[in-house]
Amino acid sequence: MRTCEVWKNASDAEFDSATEGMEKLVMNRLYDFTFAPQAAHAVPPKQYNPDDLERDRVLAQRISLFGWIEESHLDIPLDEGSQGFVMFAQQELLKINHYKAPRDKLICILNSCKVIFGLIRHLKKEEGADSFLPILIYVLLKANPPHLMSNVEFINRFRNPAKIQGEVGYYLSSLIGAISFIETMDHTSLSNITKEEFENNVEAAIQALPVSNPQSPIISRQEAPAYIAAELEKPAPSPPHAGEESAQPLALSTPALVNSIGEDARRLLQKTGDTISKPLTAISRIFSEALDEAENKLAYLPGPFAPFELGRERREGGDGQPPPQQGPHPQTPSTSTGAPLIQTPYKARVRKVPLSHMPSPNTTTYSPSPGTMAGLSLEDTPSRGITPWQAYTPPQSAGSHQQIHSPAPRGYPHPEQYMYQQVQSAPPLPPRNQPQFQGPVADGAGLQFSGLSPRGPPGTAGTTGPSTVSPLPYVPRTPISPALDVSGVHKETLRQIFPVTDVEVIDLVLETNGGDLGKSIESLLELSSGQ
Amino acid sequence: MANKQYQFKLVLLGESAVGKSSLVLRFVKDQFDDYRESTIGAAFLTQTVTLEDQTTVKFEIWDTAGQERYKSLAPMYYRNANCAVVVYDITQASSLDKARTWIRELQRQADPSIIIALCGNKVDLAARRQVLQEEAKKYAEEEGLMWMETSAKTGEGVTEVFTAIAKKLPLTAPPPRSGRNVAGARTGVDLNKQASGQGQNESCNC
Repeated sequence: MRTCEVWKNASDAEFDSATEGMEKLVMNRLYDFTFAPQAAHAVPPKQYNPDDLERDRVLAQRISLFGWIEESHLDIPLDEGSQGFVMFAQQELLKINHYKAPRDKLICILNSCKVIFGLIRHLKKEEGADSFLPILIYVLLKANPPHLMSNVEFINRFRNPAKIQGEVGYYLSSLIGAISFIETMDHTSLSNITKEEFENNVEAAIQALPVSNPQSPIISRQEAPAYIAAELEKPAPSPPHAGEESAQPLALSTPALVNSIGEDARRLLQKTGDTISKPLTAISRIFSEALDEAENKLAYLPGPFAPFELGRERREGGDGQPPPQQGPHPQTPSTSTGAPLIQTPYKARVRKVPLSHMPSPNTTTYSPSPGTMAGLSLEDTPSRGITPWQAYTPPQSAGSHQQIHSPAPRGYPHPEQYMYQQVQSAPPLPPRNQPQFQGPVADGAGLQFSGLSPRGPPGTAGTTGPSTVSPLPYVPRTPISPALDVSGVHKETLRQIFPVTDVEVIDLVLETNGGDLGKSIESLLELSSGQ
Repeated sequence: MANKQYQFKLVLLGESAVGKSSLVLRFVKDQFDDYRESTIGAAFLTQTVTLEDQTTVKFEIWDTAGQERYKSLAPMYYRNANCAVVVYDITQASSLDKARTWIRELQRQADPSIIIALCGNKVDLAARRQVLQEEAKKYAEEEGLMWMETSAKTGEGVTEVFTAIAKKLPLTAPPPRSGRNVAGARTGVDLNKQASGQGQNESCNC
């Protein structure tokens, strides 16, 4: 790569950014071949390592046996204020399935670790491995991220070896260590528990395992989706969110509206039984983008939601394949519902929202129509190696409607081409054209800046400044509306997570995010990683 | 200015509450004014020592959880380590026993060329001393270890430990920066080799 004309005269830093961009580009495109859970359900079938999936299944099942574990079993002195940290660390970890590039997946792990250190500071414990590892294990047990083994193996295999040394290597090793601890854990590994209690708890968890009712209270909200996903051995959360990997941080031009939509989305998604944060993120980004870009098109807002959700439904229904396509393309799946692709008996649990629950009156017509296909393919677009904004462009404007109401796109000769058509048909987008066509070198400039932000490269950094905030309403327990009375508490929390960040910056970020703790942490993670 | 720079992986072992983490924090924060907070947290830290001949030695310090229940995870941390600091608390005789088991394990399992330093921490609490200097020193000599006493609280002896290790490291033949720091072997992909099957018969989806 160094000998190529394009990079011959690049500085080391530029070249480093270029290789990062290249890794991401290549791995995004090869995701269907290289990430076992994805390959396993790809159409047409791809070779994959069945061991990865088996280990995913075994680990997820094992973790699901330990849902009863409390912090005291690991000697973690959590207090009332800790829960937010733990939840947030879980959510950062769960994001690993949102991203495809090895670097981005790693960053999810690192961000989770960073939040854990925020918790350690909050608890005023000595900072070090003695306090860190138990909390990491606890977070892992509570989060039960789907396909964790596949993700770790994927990183080990495909991340630039020079980039998993040092600090990154340390935290990746710690995660692997935490997994290994869970794999061999028995009552002697825990505190404050007898052999009998341990066995009884595990026995009870085993009894609870085959429950067919997803609403069963035995399965906690966090565990349920992961467990179900693991049981299904399907890439449940990943494909629907996979396009997010380089999703664009957004300016919150109309936070209240975005938030209210986010709330609706959350309510809807809670019914789906999926983890809240993932789809919510995607959806609120979609909406924010829509608002940001085309405020005069608010009337369409419920519209794009429906096809996206339907697309997700269908995808979660059992595949991780590229966009279903109509016409003579060899990859065309069964045109009925996608159901033939489902291989497990658990479908009922994943079939989430009856169509009638969808907020859009258009919903039912979208489902079987080519329009759904369009919505589906739009969501898939980024999974095929394209920068994020194209994926989110369509719902906001004429482009999307054209897609939705037009006959199914034929064959998508090439994603770029398809995307380019989108751009042309979606009027108000000039600034966003640039990162797309600049290529990896230009993206690279952002790589350096973006540091630990998975949303950095490539393609987003060009339009992303440190002052933009990303509207990610992540912390479910945090009031979404501005909660001024708790802002002092939030400030304190943020200071503990980001001890080196200026207090003024923290205040400003908190204010910008309307007092929302989750969003502020997101913003600060991005900011601090760029330092 | 420094003419040569070497980088080494240092693993930190010892029972919990002997002050491992404090020792390293003291080392990392005291040595230089331009101490920069680590990116993620204090379980992994780096610090550079400059020797008299202007050689600089950068330590990547891997902290480990000292609780007994995490003992089985230690190999993931000391794998490929160039040096180890095994810490005990001079006010707790049992912590030296624990240090001995770590040292035995390192001698058996770690890289044979690993340099091990035994470090008695908390000398500021000498009034409550349970481990005699002579006892620890004798043990260290028998095992061919470096030995010293420190106080993370006052800073006594802390820099000296790391400087002494830096001097003892084989600076003539610095280890290649291994890509095997991460637990789990990397098999790698040979891009030149014809892959069997994978992706051969199907055109790209793009």
